[in-house]
Amino acid sequence: MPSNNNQLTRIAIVILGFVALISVGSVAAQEQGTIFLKKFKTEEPKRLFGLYQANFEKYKTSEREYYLAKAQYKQLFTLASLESAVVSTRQVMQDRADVLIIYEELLAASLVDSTGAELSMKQKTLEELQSQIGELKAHKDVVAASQDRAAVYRAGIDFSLLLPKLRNTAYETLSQIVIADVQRVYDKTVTYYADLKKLQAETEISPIKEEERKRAYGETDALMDSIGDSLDKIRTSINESNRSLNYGEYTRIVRDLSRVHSQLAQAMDFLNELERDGRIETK
Amino acid sequence: MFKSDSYNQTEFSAEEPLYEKVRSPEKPAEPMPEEEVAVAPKDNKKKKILIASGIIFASFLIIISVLMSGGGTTSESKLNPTPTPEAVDTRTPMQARLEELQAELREADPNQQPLLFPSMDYNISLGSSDG
Repeated sequence: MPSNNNQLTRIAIVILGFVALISVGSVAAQEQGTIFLKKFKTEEPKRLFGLYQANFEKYKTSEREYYLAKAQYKQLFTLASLESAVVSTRQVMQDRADVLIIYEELLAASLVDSTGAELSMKQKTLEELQSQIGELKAHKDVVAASQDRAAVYRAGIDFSLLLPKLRNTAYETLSQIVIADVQRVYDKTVTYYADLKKLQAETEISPIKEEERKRAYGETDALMDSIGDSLDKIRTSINESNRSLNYGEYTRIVRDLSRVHSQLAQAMDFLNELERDGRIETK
Repeated sequence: MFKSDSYNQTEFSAEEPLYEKVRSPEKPAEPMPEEEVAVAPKDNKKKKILIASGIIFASFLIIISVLMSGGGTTSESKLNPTPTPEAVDTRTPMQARLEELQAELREADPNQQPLLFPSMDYNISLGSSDG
């Protein structure tokens, strides 16, 4: 009887552990999805993001099948294994093209959504994305029509020539999106700061407080100017070069922007203090 | 006095229970009720464990369902806002604007970009002729 009790306790612990794992996992996955979806303002990018995730999963499955079929072909070297390898290579190449098509559509939709991006650059990048989507669709058709190993090989070579362009346009688009996101918040902060100054100018305060406020405005002005200058420099660096951006360039932009981002957070703390002090003084 | 006289005084007192055991068959033993008494607490323990694990399991399920449907309920409540005393916004317009800006800044973190170039195998090939 004591062994039965022990068994029951163990079963109960296993069930509880399992349930806890499921609940923690599902909540974490949900939170991560929500964080990413928060980035998208309209329904279209959200829909495309879901489609992108589904296509990526499909690609991963066919990638595994491709590795298996290729290994079998190399080991067995039979006509049947070659046929299987050709079919799975064709499939994984088509699935890869599908992922990239949706990815580029998602980039285009996100760029259209981002309000702080410079219009001329935005237009140019959108045209590039549209043209590359067309090229990817054509590549997918070529792969689908490839009947033998040689044709699949040629399609692979064509794709390798297209790939650097795809990467560069992607990082160009991402750079514009991340800059636009910070620029938009900065512009709104400038407007807010001007409104706050105007509002506080309407209330009368003691000369000592007046001096304190002047010094606080001075500090905040300097910080806001510094943020504006840094943002101009980052924007100019991608404008004037007119060169294609690679991953390294993109990470440099992100690093510079992170500094601006934390400066902007500091500026908002200053504004918070100014707003709170102004409220106390009017009471 | 009579009883103590009947004892054999050459034997040790520790041996006394042996004599009692010999006498015990005179009373008829009742094994069934004794077993029942012994088994009943164990059954209760088993039941308690099962009930407790059932309650915890059910509460976990409820927590999961609440968390999973969290998004849906908030969107519904946004559609039909019912003014409650707690929901009254005591912030000034400037305070509210600044809080919105701070939230927007958190979302604009350049390190939180989900759209990095997909990591896939870009060298997929069967080879031209060598396999």
